[in-house]
Amino acid sequence: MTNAIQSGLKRASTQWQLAALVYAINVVFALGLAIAFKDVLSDEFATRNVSSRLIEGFDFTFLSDLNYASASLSSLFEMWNWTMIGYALLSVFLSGGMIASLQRQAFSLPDFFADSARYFGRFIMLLMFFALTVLVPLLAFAIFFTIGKAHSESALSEVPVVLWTVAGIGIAAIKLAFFYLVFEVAKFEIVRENIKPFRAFIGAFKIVLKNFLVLFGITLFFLLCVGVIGLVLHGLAPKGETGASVFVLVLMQQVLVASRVFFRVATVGALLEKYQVFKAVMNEKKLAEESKSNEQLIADAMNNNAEIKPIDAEQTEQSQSEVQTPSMPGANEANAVRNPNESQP
Amino acid sequence: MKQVTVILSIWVVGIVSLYAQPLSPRLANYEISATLDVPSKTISATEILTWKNHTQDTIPDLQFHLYLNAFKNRNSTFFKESGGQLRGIGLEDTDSESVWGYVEIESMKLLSLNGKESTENLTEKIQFIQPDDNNQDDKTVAQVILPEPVLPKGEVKLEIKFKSKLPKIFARTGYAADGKFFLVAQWFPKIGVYEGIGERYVPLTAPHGKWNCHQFHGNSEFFADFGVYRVAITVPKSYVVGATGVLQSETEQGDSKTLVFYQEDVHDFAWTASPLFQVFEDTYTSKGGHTIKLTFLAQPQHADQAERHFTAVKHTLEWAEDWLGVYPYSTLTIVDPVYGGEGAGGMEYPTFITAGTFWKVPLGVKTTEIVTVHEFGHQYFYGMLASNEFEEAWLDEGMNTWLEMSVMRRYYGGESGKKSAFGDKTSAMDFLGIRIGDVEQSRAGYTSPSSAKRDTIVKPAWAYHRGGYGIFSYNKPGTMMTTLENILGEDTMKLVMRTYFYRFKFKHPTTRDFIQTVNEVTGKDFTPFFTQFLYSTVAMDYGVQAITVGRSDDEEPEGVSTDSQSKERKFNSKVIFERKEEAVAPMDILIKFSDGTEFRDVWDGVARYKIYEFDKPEKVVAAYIDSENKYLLDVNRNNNALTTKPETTGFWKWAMYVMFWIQNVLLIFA
Repeated sequence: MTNAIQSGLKRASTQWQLAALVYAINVVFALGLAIAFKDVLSDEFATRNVSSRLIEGFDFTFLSDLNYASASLSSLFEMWNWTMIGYALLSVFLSGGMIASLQRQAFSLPDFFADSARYFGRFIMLLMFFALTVLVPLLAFAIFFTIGKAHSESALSEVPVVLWTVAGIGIAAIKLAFFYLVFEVAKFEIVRENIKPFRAFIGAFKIVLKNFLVLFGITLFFLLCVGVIGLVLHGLAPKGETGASVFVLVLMQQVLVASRVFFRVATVGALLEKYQVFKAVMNEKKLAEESKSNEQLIADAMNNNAEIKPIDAEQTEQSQSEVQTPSMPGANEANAVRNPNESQP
Repeated sequence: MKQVTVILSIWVVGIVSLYAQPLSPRLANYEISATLDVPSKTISATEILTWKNHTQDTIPDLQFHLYLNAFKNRNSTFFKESGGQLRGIGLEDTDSESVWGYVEIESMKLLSLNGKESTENLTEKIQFIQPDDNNQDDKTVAQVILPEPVLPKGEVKLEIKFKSKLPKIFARTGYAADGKFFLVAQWFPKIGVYEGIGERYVPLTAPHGKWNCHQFHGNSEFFADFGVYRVAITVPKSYVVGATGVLQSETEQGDSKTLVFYQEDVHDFAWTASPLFQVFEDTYTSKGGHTIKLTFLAQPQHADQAERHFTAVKHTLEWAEDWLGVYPYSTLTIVDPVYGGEGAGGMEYPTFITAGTFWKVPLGVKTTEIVTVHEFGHQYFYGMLASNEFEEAWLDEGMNTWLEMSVMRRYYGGESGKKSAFGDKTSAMDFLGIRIGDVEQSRAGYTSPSSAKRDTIVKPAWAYHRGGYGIFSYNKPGTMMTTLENILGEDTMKLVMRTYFYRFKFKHPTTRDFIQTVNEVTGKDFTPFFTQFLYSTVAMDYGVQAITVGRSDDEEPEGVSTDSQSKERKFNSKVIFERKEEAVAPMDILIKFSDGTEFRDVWDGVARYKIYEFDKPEKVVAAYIDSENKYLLDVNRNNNALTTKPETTGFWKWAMYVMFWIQNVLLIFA
């Protein structure tokens, strides 16, 4: 796991352009929405002496009286919804280029977008599979909540339902993490093996099932890194009661977001590293099994031949020297690194 | 035999009065002996009711509230109006008979009438009446025609044997946890209020008074006369009991025990019993010099919140004894309902309240304090100022919401909350960066566009349009009272409330009484104010519409030097204030100029617009209406100021917060 983490950090550092690209697109989208939000408030309230109230902090009265400015706000929320959907699709698009670049360990902008386009359709299918799998953690949560409620009724206290709900959230989160990792690894499968989404999903499911702890551990590690940075920045953050302190606050927020993006790329890199190791091991095992199976076939065949014909010692020596050991399927390909750009029938 | 023994014991024990002089007229006096049967959730009881006719009328009948019959079946007026739910909690398992409730009078005997002893059996003379809606299936009001009328200043004494089957808790009273928790309220036949000529809304020209005895509605509470209560309660030995009044004695007999509670000058009696309670006690010294015993009956998982409850009560006592008057009773019991019995929470009875909290509620979330302050506040608005909750719900709920807002902002709203109602930003919640004041949240419940003009405040509780009871009995009147306080100032408001309390405690005040008190104490006529906000649906919204500034086109006077250096550059500034809604009130105007000077005025607020125009070297830079934030009734305070220079720093700050959170959400998809 340590090697994978180091590899992920290294890949993210050497291909910093990936993180920069994702961050830039993230900022453009979010800034667009934030400016629209600010413009709506400014258009309505810039001269209403409201800004000074908002500088002091959250103002519930301002919020509740916004009911009387609802027309402009509702169009803003509609715009937000569409923007979020657009960003989600764009993220899926960009992830193809990201994974291919990380695998190649080389970044080139034309290749990045070419790869993004190549895998986009299949990644969208994967996204739909993932969306369906969200039902599993939801079901898990519902089961825990129901059990908690029953316990609370018998215990005459709300404590069991709270504890079971928290446990349910935890279990649901782990299941969600599991399927999220399947989603990620399935993308790797598509990029590496150039296969269809459903097959990739099944393959990824098997890999993640066998190696969940390691993969989850890698993801959690990078999340904790972001968490630590967030806590430090939160402790240092100014109150934001002047223009200058608001600016400092914004800088700190962007440091956190940028670090999150960087660690996101590192996570993908680390998972990819681990995935490649798993695939190599799997392939070796598969080859070994096939080899064993072929040896058994040959042995069986030889035994059958011995039963049918009497063995002439001279003839046997001669025929043995003429018999060629059939090559094991894939034997020549055991250590080959496929070029992901080649298409397979 | 056991019941007779208990009743006699009541007579012998404790006829020592709690007060030197009666605090109230003591018209309806009860001695009740009750036995709780846990498995069947029933109470078998005998009630001796002594009722006094305080009027000059000759009264031929008696009327009683039988509130528990609201839960008899789906045909009661309560069920038809409420759909079988109260405050979002519904009656469950309605196919099971055990969840329903009722009160059945088994016998009613006349013991004495107008000073003459009697043994007449009145049981067959009981009939159910429906004075509000003619719903023949509703049995929450009973009438008994007496063999002889009760003479003026006469007295009648009855013995009533009854059985109360408690419903599963969803609307204040009943059982929960399959009998491990009982909250017993509105459980006995309770005599109605007879209003004589000139009392409350009975006109002086009326030939006689009348009974004020409404059916139990989906949105209504209660109304009764003051009296003395002595109640003996027999329960299983393991059950902890809390009740209205002072515990006078406790005796055990076999597997059960009998507790006798006594209280003078109250108009209701409620009690609770549960083996689950953990008991906490504290004391408070009243301004009246006596000690008040505070008892908190807690669920085990809420034991660590006893201090929060006691602190909330003490803050309220301190404020109320300063702003209103002395709390005269020597006890207060706070009940924490069991899980599954939340429908019994958030209620008030004399010297006995039900609160309600949650496991590990953070200190920054003040729901526990809000409900405790509110329910204890009802000891004043409802308990001692015993207004009619059927007909004028705002007099207890609305005034008490103002009490709650006042206590919360002063004791939990920080320094800014102490200074002004509008400054209270944290008393309801200050948690994870979300700050809400109790004043703000109460106001917000009224001011939304879909609510503000929906209904009036003063109307029968059952007549509000859907959802209007809460807004127009609590939120709007609470906001109105806070606005009144802002207009009058703290000292005058205190004088008004003390006068109102002093005059009407232990009586049945009306809206009219309160308005008259305000007018008298202030020396001003606030009738138009109350007419608008209590009796009509008008809303208030004043704003600054526009500021225009241009060069002034003054002509140079003839014969005056045209030396250009002596020419003063003047600006024509125009400020337009507007009244956007129908409510009218005088508004203070504040206009600021570029040199820092100010112009103040009072606009009567009647016309739709008020224009101020200035020709001065200084420009107008800002205009404010209601600059001191007095009118919390103004439904939109975001238009009460206008400046010529835009200021957007605050918007940028929040836009950046929004941007940060959007970025983090978007990264989930990255």
